[in-house]
Amino acid sequence: MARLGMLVDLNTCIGCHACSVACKAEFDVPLGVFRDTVKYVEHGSYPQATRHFIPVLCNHCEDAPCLNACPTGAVVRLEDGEVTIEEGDCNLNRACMSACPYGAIYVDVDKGAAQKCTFCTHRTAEGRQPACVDACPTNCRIFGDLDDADSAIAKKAAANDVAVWKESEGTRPRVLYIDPRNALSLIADAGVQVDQSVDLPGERA
Amino acid sequence: MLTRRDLLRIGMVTGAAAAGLGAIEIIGPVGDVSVDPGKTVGAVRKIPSMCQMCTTACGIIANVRDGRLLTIEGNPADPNSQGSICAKGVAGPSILYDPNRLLHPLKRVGKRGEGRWRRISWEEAYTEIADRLRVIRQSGRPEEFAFQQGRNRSSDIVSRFLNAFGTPSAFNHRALCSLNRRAAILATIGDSDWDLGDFENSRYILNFGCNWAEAHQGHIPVAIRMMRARERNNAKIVTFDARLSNTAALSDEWFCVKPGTDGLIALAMANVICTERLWDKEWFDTWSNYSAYDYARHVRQYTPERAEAESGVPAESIRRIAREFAEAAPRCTTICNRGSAAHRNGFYNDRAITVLNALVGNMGRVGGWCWHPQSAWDKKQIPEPAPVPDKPTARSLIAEAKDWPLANAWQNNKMRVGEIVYLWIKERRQRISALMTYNCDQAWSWPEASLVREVLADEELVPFHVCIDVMPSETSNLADIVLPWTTYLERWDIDSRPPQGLVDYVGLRQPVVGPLGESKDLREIFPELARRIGGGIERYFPWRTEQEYFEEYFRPVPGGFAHMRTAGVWQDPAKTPNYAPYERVLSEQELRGSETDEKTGIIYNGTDPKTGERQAIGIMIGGVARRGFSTPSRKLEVHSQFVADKGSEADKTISPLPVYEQIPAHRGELAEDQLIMISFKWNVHNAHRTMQSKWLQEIVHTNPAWINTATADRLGLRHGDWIEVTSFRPRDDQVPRGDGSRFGTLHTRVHVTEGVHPSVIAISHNAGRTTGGPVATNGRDRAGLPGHEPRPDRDADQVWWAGSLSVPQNDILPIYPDPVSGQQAYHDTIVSIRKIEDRA
Amino acid sequence: MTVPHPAQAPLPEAAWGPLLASYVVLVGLPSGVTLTTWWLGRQRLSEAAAIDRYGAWGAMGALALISVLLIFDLGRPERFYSMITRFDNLGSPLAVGAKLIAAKMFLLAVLIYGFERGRRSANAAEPMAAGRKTGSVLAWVVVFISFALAVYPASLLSRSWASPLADSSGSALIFLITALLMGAAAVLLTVSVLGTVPGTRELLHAGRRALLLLLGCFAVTLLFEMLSLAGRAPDRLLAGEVLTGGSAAMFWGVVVAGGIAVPAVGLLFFRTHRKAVFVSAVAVLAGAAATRYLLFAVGQ
Repeated sequence: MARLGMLVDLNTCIGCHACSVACKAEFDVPLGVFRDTVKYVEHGSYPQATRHFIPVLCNHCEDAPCLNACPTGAVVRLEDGEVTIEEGDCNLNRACMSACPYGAIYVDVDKGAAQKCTFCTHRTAEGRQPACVDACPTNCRIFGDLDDADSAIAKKAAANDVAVWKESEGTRPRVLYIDPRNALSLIADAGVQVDQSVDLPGERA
Repeated sequence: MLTRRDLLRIGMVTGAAAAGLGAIEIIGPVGDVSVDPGKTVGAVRKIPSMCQMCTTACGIIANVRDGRLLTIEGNPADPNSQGSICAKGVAGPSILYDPNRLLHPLKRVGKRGEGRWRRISWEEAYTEIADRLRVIRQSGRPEEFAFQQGRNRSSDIVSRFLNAFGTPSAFNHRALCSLNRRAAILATIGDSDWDLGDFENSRYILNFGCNWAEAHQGHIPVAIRMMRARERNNAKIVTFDARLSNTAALSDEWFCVKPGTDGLIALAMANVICTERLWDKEWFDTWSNYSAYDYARHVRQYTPERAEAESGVPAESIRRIAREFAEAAPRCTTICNRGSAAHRNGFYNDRAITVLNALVGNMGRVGGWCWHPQSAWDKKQIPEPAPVPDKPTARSLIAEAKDWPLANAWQNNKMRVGEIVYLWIKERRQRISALMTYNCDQAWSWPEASLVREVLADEELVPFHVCIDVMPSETSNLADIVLPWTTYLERWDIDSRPPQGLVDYVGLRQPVVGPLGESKDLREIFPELARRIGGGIERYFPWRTEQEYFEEYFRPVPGGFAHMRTAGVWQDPAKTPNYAPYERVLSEQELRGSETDEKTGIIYNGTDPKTGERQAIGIMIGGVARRGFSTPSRKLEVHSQFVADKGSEADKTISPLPVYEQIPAHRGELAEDQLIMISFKWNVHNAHRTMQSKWLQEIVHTNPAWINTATADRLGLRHGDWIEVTSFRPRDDQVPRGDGSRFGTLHTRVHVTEGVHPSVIAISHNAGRTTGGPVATNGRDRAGLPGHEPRPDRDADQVWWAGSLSVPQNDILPIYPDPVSGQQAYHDTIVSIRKIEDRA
Repeated sequence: MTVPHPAQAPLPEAAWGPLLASYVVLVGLPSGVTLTTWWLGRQRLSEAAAIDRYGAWGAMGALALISVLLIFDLGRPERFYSMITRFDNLGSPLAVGAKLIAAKMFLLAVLIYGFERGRRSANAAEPMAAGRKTGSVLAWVVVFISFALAVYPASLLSRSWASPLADSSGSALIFLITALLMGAAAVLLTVSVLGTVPGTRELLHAGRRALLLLLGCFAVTLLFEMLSLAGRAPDRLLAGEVLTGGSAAMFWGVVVAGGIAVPAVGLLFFRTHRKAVFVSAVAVLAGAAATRYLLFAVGQ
């Protein structure tokens, strides 16, 4: 029994989206919905402006609102703590989506079920890393057992100040961030899914 | 009877089978995986190869099951990328299985560009192309066959065919890319045209306009080392850029500079370092051909105050950064790229930046500014299989581009002035009877793309045009025959890149799946064309299969071709990093029979096989015979008489010293409505190919114009407003058609941001295609491929970004070569902005 | 400094749309009908048995309607039953609610069977004492379930980031009162339409008194709800949206004017005038429905 978690070091994330695309490829995630993506947030005024890159995904919360909300028992916690959705038990009542403060769950029309990040249980069962962790070129993501004091993730978490996304929600995420520039506070209103309404139309009005 | 093609197929299958037995690791299923949705579980073949989504060519491993590519990951054995790849690399399957890919040869019917096509057989295509080319060759004017390449990672087979054919008209895109940087580095150190900062061991990195977090020829190999330096050495990264690129955002400090002033900032830093004696005077006086005091005198004019006035970077910051940089020496380095180089004054900018390193003595040092003599694999160790055809004797006026003295000044670095090719064809400076376009969408991606389209549409200027590409493009629309090319995941190459770890290596690109449809690679097309054209060309293609060729090519590698197929890459364990190569003491053997020039100390031995002149092999430094630099003086050339002389030969003045030359049109105040237009690249995009990827387009698919908040306020613009951008040709008598006239207009919309210089309008060029299917064109092209069976496309209706703004910036970018080198000045064009009121 | 919006929107679009909004609005109706008719049936009116019987049928009909809404809202309606058959997560309000609806429908069916059989054999033998006792127990159970279903939308919606108002202090009480209002109004509406049924006058009098009492309670509850929202900044934003923002028209027009003022005037001044009762009942239904809709939608 492990307590699997992920640590994202925002010091070394270069915002390249390899994680998001690896996730799309791994699960053939339909267009328009996301299990993992990278938030870009511009902050500050010229010439001190900067941009933050914040990879976001399901937090596999200790206190998971989706898990508590699902009326059919389709959202389950696995032995090592991953929160996953049993496709067959889901009847798409979307209570989990309404409950998740991170917007991490979406409707997969092809599968007819709510879907989200699984921490790549199929890969970790083979001793491999989740697809996003494997894909990260700068190794800014560490995946592992938060309870194992010798694990890379536990060591790095112990050696650094770590933060979580939307701490005030009280969900106690298992996705931790090293966030020296307090970037998480800038996405307190956002979710994992991409806001499609920000694109400017190109057709003549 | 077996045809040649059948033989190739059989070869391919046996090769793959052999590899499957010997080489490829099979991962067995573990545990109960039946309910898991992920794809890479179970018996997956892992096939090493090399990426070519961009030109960085990172090592990849393809996960393949039942002949279908599932996912791509990095190959840890690759010494450059070390197992890392970017989003583009991961997105490979979306390119391979792009439903808008070309799978069959097409021949136009009706007028060129009309868009009517007929599917033809390869037999018909080969016959027609070979007949055309044979006539050209037999006419005795082989240069009339022109080859236009984009990013070419199959240079061996391309040169082999073109040289065997005898045409020198090989046009590349170097002047649109990295010409100035290469020329500046060659002029300074001679050994190489590419700096490879030892970032991993560095403590301070000064970045002049390089966006290594998103683009750059060393993209991921650079980025991973930068981040390691930050984590392990607490390295500081300082970026100068006119735009808040992701790299600028990642840096510890970002200074927003006016375009084209990077060199001045570097010179001002040199000024500070000289004035405050922060230099490594001993190194500079020993190893450069100019004295430190003389250089100090030279840079006296470039005060930080002057740099502040022109660049906008505070003089105090320039002083502070210069001190910090010198303080960190020798574990400090610069990196620069298109932000400093793709300007009218880019050659000097990069010269100034390069020499800044010499001043602090970090050249070739651990953590310093380094380089490697090999831009690819060691071609002495792994030579091209014989027989290798000689270089053509015919001449090409366009390829030589003699108006630009530094373009082709260096023996082994032919840098064509790509942006003038179609202008010169239009001006009939060189007759073209057949054009073959390969992996290039010049009708969309070239400056003055409208002119390229006009020339390509003219059947008199270009009587025959064959386009070889993976997908239909603006350029293939203007071809006579379109050949379906294999993706990089279905073909063979020998490849490698300038080694970021300073030890050269070699890699193999191999098919991870069989070619889709009837697509073919040049390695199959060229031998077949050679055989059909005849006249002796065919004898340079004696190999029956690609594997046979590569078996021979990789014979020098221990374990040979089989090793390459298993590992994907090989690095000679005996080689050590190329630190301070100039200090190497020459061996007795090297010195045997040598002579030393008393005055210069240069040591000569034998004659240069290419020039016939005596060959310099080193220089006496403090009484010791050392290798030195491969420059005429065998020292680092702060003062390059070579470039000055090249200039004189072409009636141009080229300063032998690094100088700052202001961009003519940027002098003085710009008019109220005028801005400097710059272009940029997003991390998920490369050239036209990446727009085919649904996963990449989903992330970035639109390109509104970035305008600073203050500028927008001044012009009365709000986010989303429609604007008309009108560009002007440079007013510059050193530039073709440099009359300052109005050039082109573009209608686009405003993205107001704090992340761009107030005098700048920044438009990304990864957009604006009108052909290539709904994913690439934001829904504009839903026509389907002519001559192709409709393919099921689950995502065609899910393109949620359909209708989003996507405009072609290149259409309003005038041809603007740096007068000394020919590098296209991408970031210097003046545009005027007008709000379009009735478009709200 | 900007105050963070209390209704953060992790998803571009709220997961629950118009169908579920209708469900949340209408799920109060069967509870209200049951509770109202149960109360009327115990007011020593002459037609108590008929009231119980009509109440059961009415509640059953409304439940059937909301079940259909709930099922059709599912992405996979064919799997609706798992909300009833799965007991893994009784912490889920939706799971509990679905089971309560199913239980109530089953009990109502039993009661209706009893009523209908009793009616047919009314002139024959005495109804068995045991059966009457069972029926009485069942009726009590139905009342408790109805009460639960009247309150339950508060817990359902308070779990959703898209319905922050449902998380406020007055939410459960408002859901309860609006359910009762809808039930009472529905009964009065039916009576005023039917008109000539025996016992109409008695029913109108009793119903009118009940409705007036509930309206008073409703007004007071709304007042204190607004007072509670005036405390913290994020809550004030919500209150602002209701009182002066995008939902102000619905709140002042439909809830306050239509749902409270119009019926209060109608019932106070025109007493049991049938047309006045009719108009008042319709206005109450609209006001209560709008209130429940606002609890669902404000802050999205």
